[in-house]
Amino acid sequence: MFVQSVVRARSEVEAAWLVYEGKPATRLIAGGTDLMLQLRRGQRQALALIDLRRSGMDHILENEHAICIGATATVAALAQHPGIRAHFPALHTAAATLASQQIRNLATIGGNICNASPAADLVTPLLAYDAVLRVRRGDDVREVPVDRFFTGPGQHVLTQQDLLVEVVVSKPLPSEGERSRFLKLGFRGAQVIAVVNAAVSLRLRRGLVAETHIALGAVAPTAVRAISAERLLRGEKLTPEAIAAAAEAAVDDISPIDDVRSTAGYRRRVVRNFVRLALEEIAAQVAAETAHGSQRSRSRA
Amino acid sequence: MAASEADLGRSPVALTINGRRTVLDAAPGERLLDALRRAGWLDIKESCGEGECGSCTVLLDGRAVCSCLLLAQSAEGADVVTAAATGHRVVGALRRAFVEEMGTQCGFCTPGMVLAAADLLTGDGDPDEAKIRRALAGNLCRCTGYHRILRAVQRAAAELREEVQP
Amino acid sequence: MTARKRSSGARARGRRPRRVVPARSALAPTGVVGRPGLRVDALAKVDGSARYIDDLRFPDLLYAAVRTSDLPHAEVLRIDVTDAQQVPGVVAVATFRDVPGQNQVGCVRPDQPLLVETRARWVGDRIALIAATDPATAKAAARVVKVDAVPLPGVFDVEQALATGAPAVHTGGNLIEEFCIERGDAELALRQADVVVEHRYLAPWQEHAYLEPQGVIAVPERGSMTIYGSMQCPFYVQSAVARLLGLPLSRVRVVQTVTGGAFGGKEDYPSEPACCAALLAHKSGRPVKFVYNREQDIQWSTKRHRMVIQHRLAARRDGTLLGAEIEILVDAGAYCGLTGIVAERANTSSVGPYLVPNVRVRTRTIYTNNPFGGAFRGFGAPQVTLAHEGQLDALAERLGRDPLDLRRQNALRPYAVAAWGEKLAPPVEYLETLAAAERLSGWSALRRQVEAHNRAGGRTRLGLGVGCCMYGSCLHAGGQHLEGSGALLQVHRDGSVSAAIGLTEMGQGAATVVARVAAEVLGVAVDQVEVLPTDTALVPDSGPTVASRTTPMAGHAVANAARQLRAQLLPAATGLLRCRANQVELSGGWARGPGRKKVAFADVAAAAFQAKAHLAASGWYAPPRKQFDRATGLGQPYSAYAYATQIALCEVDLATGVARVKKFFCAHDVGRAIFPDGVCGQIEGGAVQGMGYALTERLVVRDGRILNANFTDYLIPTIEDAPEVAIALIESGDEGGDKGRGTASQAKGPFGAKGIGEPSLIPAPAAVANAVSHALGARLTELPLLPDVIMAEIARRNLDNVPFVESAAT
Repeated sequence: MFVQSVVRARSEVEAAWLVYEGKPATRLIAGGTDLMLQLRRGQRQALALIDLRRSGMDHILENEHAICIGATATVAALAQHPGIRAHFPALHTAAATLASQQIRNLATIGGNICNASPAADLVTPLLAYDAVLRVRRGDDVREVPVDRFFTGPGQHVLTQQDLLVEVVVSKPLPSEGERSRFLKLGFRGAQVIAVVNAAVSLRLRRGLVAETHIALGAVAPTAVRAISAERLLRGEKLTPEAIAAAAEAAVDDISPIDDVRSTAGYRRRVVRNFVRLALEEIAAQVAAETAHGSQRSRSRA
Repeated sequence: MAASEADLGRSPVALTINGRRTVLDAAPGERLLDALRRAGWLDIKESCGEGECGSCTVLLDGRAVCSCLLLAQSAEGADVVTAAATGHRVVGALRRAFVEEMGTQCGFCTPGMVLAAADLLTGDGDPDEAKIRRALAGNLCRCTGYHRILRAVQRAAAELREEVQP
Repeated sequence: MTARKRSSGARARGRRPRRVVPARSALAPTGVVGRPGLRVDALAKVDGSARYIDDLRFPDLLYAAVRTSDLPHAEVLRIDVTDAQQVPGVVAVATFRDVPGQNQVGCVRPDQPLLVETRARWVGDRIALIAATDPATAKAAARVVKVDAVPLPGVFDVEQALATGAPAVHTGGNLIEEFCIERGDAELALRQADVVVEHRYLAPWQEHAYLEPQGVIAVPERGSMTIYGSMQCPFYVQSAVARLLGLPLSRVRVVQTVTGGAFGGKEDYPSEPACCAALLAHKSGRPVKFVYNREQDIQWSTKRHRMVIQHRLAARRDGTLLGAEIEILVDAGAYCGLTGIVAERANTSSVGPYLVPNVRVRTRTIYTNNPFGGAFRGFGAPQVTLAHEGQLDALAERLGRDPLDLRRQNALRPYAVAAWGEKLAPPVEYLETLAAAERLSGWSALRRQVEAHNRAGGRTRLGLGVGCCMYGSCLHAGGQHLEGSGALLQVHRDGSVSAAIGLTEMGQGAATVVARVAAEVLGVAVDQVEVLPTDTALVPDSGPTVASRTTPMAGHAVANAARQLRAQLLPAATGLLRCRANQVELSGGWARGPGRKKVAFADVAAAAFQAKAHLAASGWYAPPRKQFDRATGLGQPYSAYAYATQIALCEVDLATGVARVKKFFCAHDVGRAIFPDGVCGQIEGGAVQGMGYALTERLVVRDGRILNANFTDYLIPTIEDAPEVAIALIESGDEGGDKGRGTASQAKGPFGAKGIGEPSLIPAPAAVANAVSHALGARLTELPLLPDVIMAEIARRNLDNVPFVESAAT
């Protein structure tokens, strides 16, 4: 099967209607960094493509409460955005270290999500931040929480008529003291698909864990939340013991496989260590900030 | 028997290549890489065909991209720069520096390497070593061990800075 | 880790290698040799105007595709190409029945048909060839070739292949050949030793991953065939195509195009695509192009041989080595190819640069249904070096000795007898490389730092590893009939010079070396010398571009031709300068006479032309004959030896098992650096390729099929993986000689140069493996040391139950 036509969408509205009225075997292409090689390898087929590159959905808008990222915003644009860097450091790190400069310049957030790879680097931070995906069907727009979006490797809840238009991440209140981390393991220094990735967000209230999201990638058919690890941490102090227990628990939340990149057993060990590492780093950050804060208040007094 | 990709009707794609307005003929699913090479831009190399090695890098509206991952038809109206560009200040400085520092051996990765570095130096005139490494991580070289490539980019950056502040 | 940060450290700019050069040498070069300068081919490469094979255009060009066996081992009953022939756009289809000459591409033994007749022995075996007007049509037609085949049980492991009752890949069994060294009494030495260190090493396949894939174009013409292509060894391709088509060698011309990296991968292998294209061109009467994509390239081309090495090393308590017993199993894949030659080098190199009086080595080459082993930079030496250097570090650890010191104690010195019984003529620069590497790395201080870091605990551990080698320069005695090498030089009447050699530039810098040698002898500037593409019609068969022999062999041949031309030019120079021949000095583009008289080289050339001097010369060089006894593995296997010591500083992340090289130090004996920047470029590149072999490059092979035949999952080092490589060059030039002590004198290259292509890589994997082993306090003997492999060791000993972040512990 060869691509026989390419239609360029010039606006979100046009894109939405092109998708809505799309014929069978029509696929969306944005950055093309996954689709172009899937088409070449015969892993995906298409007779017609709707090209979203010039559809004008590449905005990144920041307001008091949230950052709204257009589906065709490039990974490079995400990595450069000061608001994302300030409020969503895990998403920033994931974007800044994704693949290579050439790929970041092309790849889009919408593509990274809709390709639905269990190893997608942007997905774990979006899970950690409870992102909401805005999906358009014709003129109707609905919202899908990111943790209900994926159904399997390469699979998600969108139908042939649906178009992902925007990703919304809500900012934590300053008083919530949110900290977050993104960790990625690839088998070389750069330009590599994750063997494991992890994003952790955590909010402390009066020294106790008020909320935490631990998202893990490449260790299950979709990126997953480590629900039992999160449950163990809520209401606890961030002690080495609590951290170690959560890290052990996270291993039960995943179902890794052996593949061409690595083995299930190894992934389990790394998940344990990554969860511990991320939490230790956050604990160290909190400790440093507290020490710094008390020092400052002493000097003021 | 399915029709071959080459049999499908090609349509014109108007764009600028190295400052020259050009119309490429491209089949619907065709890669920008193939359309450019067919049009004679043989300085763009194909090595992995999967966006992993950077040999087919071009500057698309100033940004380095893998031309093997881009639909030719998506490049309509774009400004494409290749390593053969003449009169491109940054590309020219990088080419000189790659010669001076011996940043090339077999040469197959070199045009792509020059263009990836051009994207970096266009946005950042004085990148530190870590930034250079990050910017070039998508360009594989099997000959040099990268040491002299790094030096070449540093040399070009310095030369470009001197040009700006004489 | 996402951000494997490296300390930005001192900028590399301007850092030059340390060079140890003898103060005075009678034959020291006076011109461009040894000076800084540029590559002669750099300009065309940076602006992309260099034309590689895929950039060439021919009218009426057809594109080739191959139908390969889908089975690793099968009896092929019937091949039906009727459907393929019907596909519109298909011009020619070929099976073994269409071969006019011999259906054979085996480069040493005739065990490899180009096209399967009745038996497929691995997944890359070709069943039918298609030529069509475009590549997609050719591929589509290849898919509709009908093949009736019965699967046969396959064998995918060397040890299993040797077992009785194992499926036989070829009639006559799976054992191809044996090599040995028998000297002294190794058994007795092992029995009487205070210490015996024994380990089993596994050196896996490695993919060359040159950036330019394999490619050729065959152009037929009235009973002859011209092949253009990306290759190392045009004369191999010429012989292969002539044999296949039943043509005399004079009717097959091979022209090398600009070659985008090779590393051994374009030594033996290009004969196969060349034969495919030639057969299709012969059948269709039209030019045929066959350029691989990356997946085809990785799936079908040869690999570094997988070897299993059982190594027993015996020593006295004081560290003196007494004996070694080494068993090497070499996985050839389905055909022999160059396996025997690779095994011969592995066999000879397996003891290393050490004085070991009692040696027993046995090397066996074995057929399997696995990917095909072939030439790869180092040619069997990196695998055995992993073993002998692992053993030295293991012994040092066992005896509580400093690894460098233990090597120094046992080092081969001038007039010492090497493992193969040869008394070594001076200079033997091994000790110099040890000393230089020690200085370069700041060894003792660095070792103390590493120990302090590891005592402090935390997320990372550091390790230091040493790797040393002694590389037999140029071809082994077994292949010395191929060692002669030619050159053709011409001085034009304007003073410009054309040079053609029989060996090739593939990125390593051969053209620049050749231009420099010609310029040095003729006394012209390097840019006056134009190095032509290698063409079998220009220069006689000069053997293969392998074994780090291009600088010595082509260098000598060019120097020989240039000396002849000099003699032709001198009368004109003496005429112009009005002096005697011995008063003329040619240098820097001038002929200088007594006083301050000088005339431009161009004027000398013009005058010589007017005087009808013969201004072309054919140069030739062949080293003296070597005596070697294959039955015992004793004698003089090589013309000269190049020594190297490399030191790796590695860091292991206990949270993930990721190891990386933080610093790398190389000390190389190069005889003479004709093009020092080129030498350093080779060392940097070779070292990093060796690091890739040690750390990230894993070929996943199941039932003979490569599952990661792409750059997404076969991971070669990126710029983020490449540390700074510090270099010391040891240049003894033409010094040395046997001084009447009964040694065969060394035959080095022009100005005393030795090749560097391979020694740059050979010790690197061993140094890295030793460093990682040092970091973990456990001997790791199987490559690659990917994080999962390292993690298994970390997990086994619970090394990751430490706080990863310092302040979290408090």
